[in-house]
Amino acid sequence: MRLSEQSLYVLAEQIRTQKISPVELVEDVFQQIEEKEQQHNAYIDIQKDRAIHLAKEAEREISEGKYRGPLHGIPIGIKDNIYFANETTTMGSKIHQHFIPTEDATVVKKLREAGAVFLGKLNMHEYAWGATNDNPFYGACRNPHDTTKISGGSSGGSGVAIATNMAIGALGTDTGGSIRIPAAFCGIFGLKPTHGLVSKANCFPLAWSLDHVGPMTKTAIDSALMLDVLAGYDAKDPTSIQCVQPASYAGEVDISLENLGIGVNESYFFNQVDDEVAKRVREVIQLFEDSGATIVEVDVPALAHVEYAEMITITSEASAIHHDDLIEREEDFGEDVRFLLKLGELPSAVDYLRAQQIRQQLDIQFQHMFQQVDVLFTPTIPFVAPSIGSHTATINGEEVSLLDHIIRFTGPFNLTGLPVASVPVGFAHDLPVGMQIIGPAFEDKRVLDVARLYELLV
Amino acid sequence: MREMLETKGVRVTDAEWEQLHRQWEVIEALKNNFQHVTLNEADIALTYEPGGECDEIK
Repeated sequence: MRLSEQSLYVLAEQIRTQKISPVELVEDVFQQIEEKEQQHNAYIDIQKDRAIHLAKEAEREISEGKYRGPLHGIPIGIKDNIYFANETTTMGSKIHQHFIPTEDATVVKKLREAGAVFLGKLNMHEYAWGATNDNPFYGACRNPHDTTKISGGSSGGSGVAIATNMAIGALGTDTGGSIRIPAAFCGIFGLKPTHGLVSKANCFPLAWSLDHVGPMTKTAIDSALMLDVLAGYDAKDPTSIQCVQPASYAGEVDISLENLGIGVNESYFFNQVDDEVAKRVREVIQLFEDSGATIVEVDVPALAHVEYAEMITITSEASAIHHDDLIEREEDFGEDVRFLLKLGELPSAVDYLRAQQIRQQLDIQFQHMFQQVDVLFTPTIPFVAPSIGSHTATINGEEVSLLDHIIRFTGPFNLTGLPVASVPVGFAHDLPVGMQIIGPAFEDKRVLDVARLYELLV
Repeated sequence: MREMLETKGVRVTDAEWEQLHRQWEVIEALKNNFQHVTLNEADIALTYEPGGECDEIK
């Protein structure tokens, strides 16, 4: 097995014990980039010289006994809406194509201090405002399993880079599903942490109250190791929350299958789902039940209105951010983003506030639900990856609007800020299927532990 | 609604308006009869914290 094909967790131990050098690892990753980047278009900017320099620095430090931790010497890709000081950050856009921030994002600062080796900036949907990653300025990201299909977005480059070993870890952002959708479509692991757990400071917003930053990796423990570095209060982020955290998100799994209660909601999360996708998820639910977990049917009535609340909130907030540019230079937006920005100018203040009322009711109902169960399992997306350029997706042979369906299952957890992992659970129609594991707020370790239990079961 | 957009300075072609109007109707339909849910005085739970130091009560 090539070095770049291994997980972050395995490589971290090999680096720590100096069985391998960060330099040989990053060179193998760049070999992967050379072989695959043209085919998949995961990167907007590749920084090979800087990466080799950082890898040599890491090698020297480790040989001198200055080991910084599991991310030391690990090649990491960063979505291009996360700021690097004094380096171009494009947001996948034409308008910001020459934008150079003066300060690192807090998450970049933390990864830097942890000794990560930055590979470059990853392709994304323009301004993160879309789920296809079909970018009119930087090209479409192409699915690792079928290059005629979308990678999903908006963190499409991150999903593709991990799936093709063109990065060992990656950062994404998630406002309506933008970590979980590419994770599901590309067949990798993605974590949207609890809102406020990971700083968003110096990450360009899509919708302030829905935005999250999180890791995308090959396995659950890889993301746990990244979360150990990323999580924590940041005074620069007004949504950052001070909370007690576990000693390590990658610590011993402290939940057992026999004591695990898994919620399943049929009426919302299994409504209008492709049969083959639903089958993969139900197989996992059955596997957990056969292994000792208890499955509980749960009801969350406010889900009946959640799509309205999500659409009103995300469109309004995004349009507020881009209002001036929409007036002054609308032709410099891609067609799909321009449409959504005009759509977001329509809701009234009363529409927005009623959406927040629904949001609060949803939050209360989920809190109540988590008194009955430990986690909730749902499909991540109701279908598998559609073709690049398509405005529809296929559910049981029927074409449905992509815009109306792609964030149906992911969006509720941006509204509520609950921690969610998307784990790969097999294939349908020869393309990857993802399942969401959702936990109560600030129980990110529980979500990660359940994902690790699943990885042990399969 | 189209006039409202244009008053704000948002230009909308006839073709765009047709698409926007259609999509807005989809969003309106997602309300799913929530007028029958009691929302009137339900809290939005959005808070504003003024800047400055606050000694937390332990």
